[in-house]
Amino acid sequence: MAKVRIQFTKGTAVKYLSHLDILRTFERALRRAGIKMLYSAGFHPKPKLAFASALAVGVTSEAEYVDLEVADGQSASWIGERLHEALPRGLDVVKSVAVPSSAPALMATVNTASYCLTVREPAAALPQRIQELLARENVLVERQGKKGMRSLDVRPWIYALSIEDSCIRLEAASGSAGNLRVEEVIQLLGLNPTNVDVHRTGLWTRDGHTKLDLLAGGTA
Amino acid sequence: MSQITEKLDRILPLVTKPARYTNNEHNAVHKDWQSVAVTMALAFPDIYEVGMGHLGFKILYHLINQRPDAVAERVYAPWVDMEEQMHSAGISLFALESQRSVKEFDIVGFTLQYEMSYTNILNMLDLGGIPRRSEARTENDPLVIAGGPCAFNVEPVAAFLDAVVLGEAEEAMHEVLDVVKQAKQEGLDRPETIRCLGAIDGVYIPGWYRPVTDDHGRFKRLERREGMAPRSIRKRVIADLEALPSPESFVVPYIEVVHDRVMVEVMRGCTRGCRFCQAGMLYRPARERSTTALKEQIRTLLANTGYDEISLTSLSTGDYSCVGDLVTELVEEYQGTGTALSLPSLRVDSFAVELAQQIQRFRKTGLTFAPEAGTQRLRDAINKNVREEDLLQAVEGAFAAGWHQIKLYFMIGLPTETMDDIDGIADLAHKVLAVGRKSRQSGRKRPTVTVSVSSFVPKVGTPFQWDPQNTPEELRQKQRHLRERLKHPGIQFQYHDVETSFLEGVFARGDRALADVLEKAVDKGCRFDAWSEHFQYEAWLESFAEVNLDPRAYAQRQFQKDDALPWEHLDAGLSRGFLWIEHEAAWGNMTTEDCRFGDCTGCAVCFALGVENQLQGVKDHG
Repeated sequence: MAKVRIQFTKGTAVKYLSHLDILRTFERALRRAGIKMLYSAGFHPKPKLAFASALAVGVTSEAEYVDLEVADGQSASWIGERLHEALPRGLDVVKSVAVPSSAPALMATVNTASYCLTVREPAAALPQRIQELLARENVLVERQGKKGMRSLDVRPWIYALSIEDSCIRLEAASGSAGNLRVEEVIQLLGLNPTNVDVHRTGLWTRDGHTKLDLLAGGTA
Repeated sequence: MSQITEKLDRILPLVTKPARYTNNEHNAVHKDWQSVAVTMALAFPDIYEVGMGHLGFKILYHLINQRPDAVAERVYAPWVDMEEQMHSAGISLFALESQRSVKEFDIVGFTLQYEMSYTNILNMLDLGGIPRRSEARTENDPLVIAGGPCAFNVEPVAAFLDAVVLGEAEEAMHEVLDVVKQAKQEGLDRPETIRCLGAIDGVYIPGWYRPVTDDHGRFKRLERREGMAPRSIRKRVIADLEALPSPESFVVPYIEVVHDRVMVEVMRGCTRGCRFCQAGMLYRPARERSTTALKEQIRTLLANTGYDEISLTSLSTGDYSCVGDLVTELVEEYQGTGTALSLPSLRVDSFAVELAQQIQRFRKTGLTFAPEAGTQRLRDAINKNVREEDLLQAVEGAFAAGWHQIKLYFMIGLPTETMDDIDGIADLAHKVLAVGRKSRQSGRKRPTVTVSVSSFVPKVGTPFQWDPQNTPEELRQKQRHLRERLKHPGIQFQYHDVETSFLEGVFARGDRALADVLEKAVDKGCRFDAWSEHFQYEAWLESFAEVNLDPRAYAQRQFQKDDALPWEHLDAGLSRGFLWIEHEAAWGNMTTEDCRFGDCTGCAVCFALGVENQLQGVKDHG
């Protein structure tokens, strides 16, 4: 078997798809493309594919990742091209690389995400609100836990927040060790969510101050 | 970005499942409107997830779009939250592909699948800014046409339709498009175009007729208002299914829809002759496709869609003469590819269990059988030729093979039914459970039996078209009785809402007077009547009262042998004499054989249509 890591986009044409919709779409595109996958065992065998991170309905992205477990003898570049052709418009393959079969799962690797939030009719006070948010020592948000609502300090998870033109650039923790929700930032900045287009610009492995590309270490 | 795209972008984040409205699915067809001569919106009067599962719609979509001179686009009923947002944003009902308003199309074609979707048709016309009534439409409005099973009694919605296609539409659809294309080129006005449509075989123009009623408002006869109006309109039928190009691709939805798989039609029509079954009467004769053609189509569809499931569809796939061979060959071909096979309709016998066993790829959970009635007497009366031994043998086989949930479908309120027959349903359920307990293998789960009971609705074109529907009170009493008798830890009892069945009964044998009721109901906010959370029974009753009509006079009406029937000009090819003989046979508990295997029953369809049963597995046929 071989493992192929794919970087793909989620464009505006498909932005309202849920994570499950995207999974289904990939399974079907892989079949149409004639890519030979490995299947899970059991009563309902499913092709083995594992995404890095789920993207919310309505959010676009230029850097989503999925690992495919495929049968030997199919090159990463061939798989990338075939899959790109078979996927519907908006789901476009950016890159495909072979990674070692032993490579850790994407889900366990990702710990950082970056976003561009485009605000329609941005308020003049926005830059100031961003400065104020960054200056705070603690930023408490309420989240639904197993035992009711609980308060959580998300300030350590905000790595960078700035504004350029109408784009708010955000870099934040994303993963099992810590996860900042974009809608929380939108709320903290006093923005109306229906006026904000959320676009993910990257998923990374962050180690101290260095960010590692998820395709690093892969081979064409 | 077009204006509507911008508006949509603002409202879509506010509605449930926005991907219902966004299009761009794999295999969706986008055409440049400048390059085509005629445009058609295929309108399904229910939500996307329901409409996308409909095979007839897929067939028409690809058939029209294969023509270089025509385009077909899809329209579904927006869910209530989307409708509200469209209202406030000022968005007209639009087709998915081009996002153009339905009003901009040459033709809007509705499919009439079930009576409880009629309010959605009116609501969709409203949302598209198209006048409801045919007579109120102008040169700026599309032609509003319809087809589907309910076309055989289209009278309750006749006032809203400019033309209706009876029967199988594959050939007639092309003729309709040709006529509209030519009419546009020649600059014909609306009445002239409709006249040309009326000249097509199988096309009914409601506006050419006016019902004449007696002093009590009861239908007497149909008056023809137009010289070229035929006395009756005979359905269209495809003589050679093998020669018909079958769809090579389906639009593949992103979100989950019903019947989300490759569907191939193994045959059309059914001659079993169940007397309650409208489809079995309307779609005769039975015509089978060859296994070679089916396997080829399956290969093409799997390659073009990427689905991992195949469904062999028809009214009764277990009766397809080559079903055993086809299933064996398909299982062989797709073994180890992760592709599953499903048969939607099983016969009630051990052969069906063998078939099910062959295709069972997953964990064995449930198996469904439809004995329809609880006693042999009533099964004979409805001509459902299933014996109790067959059923018990089948379930014994199923339990022994490892299935542990058996679902049984029954109907209540059938003509000739007594409380003995209702008790028979309960007795049968208990017997099936007893068989399950006896043949249960050690270590397997406890057997359970689900009894699903629907309420019979008399339908036009069947031997029961003369018979009254049970009153809501009678149906409720029978449901209560069954609930008592089926109180058992191993038995689950499911039944349908009585009020919905009652209204379905009203419209199934209704007439043109019901158009006013429909309009009132839509004005009161009735829509999605088939969805229990949106069904507003009180609003319906008010609507009937306001136009001075008694719904019971429709649903519970007993027609006499010589009574004029408001739908009899809509001709499925069956002789009235045959239907009446079958009606009498039902009341005498006499069965009639399937003409595929026994004598001709005299239904007259083959004679009327010039098309006979076509079986693939019987070499000496003909």
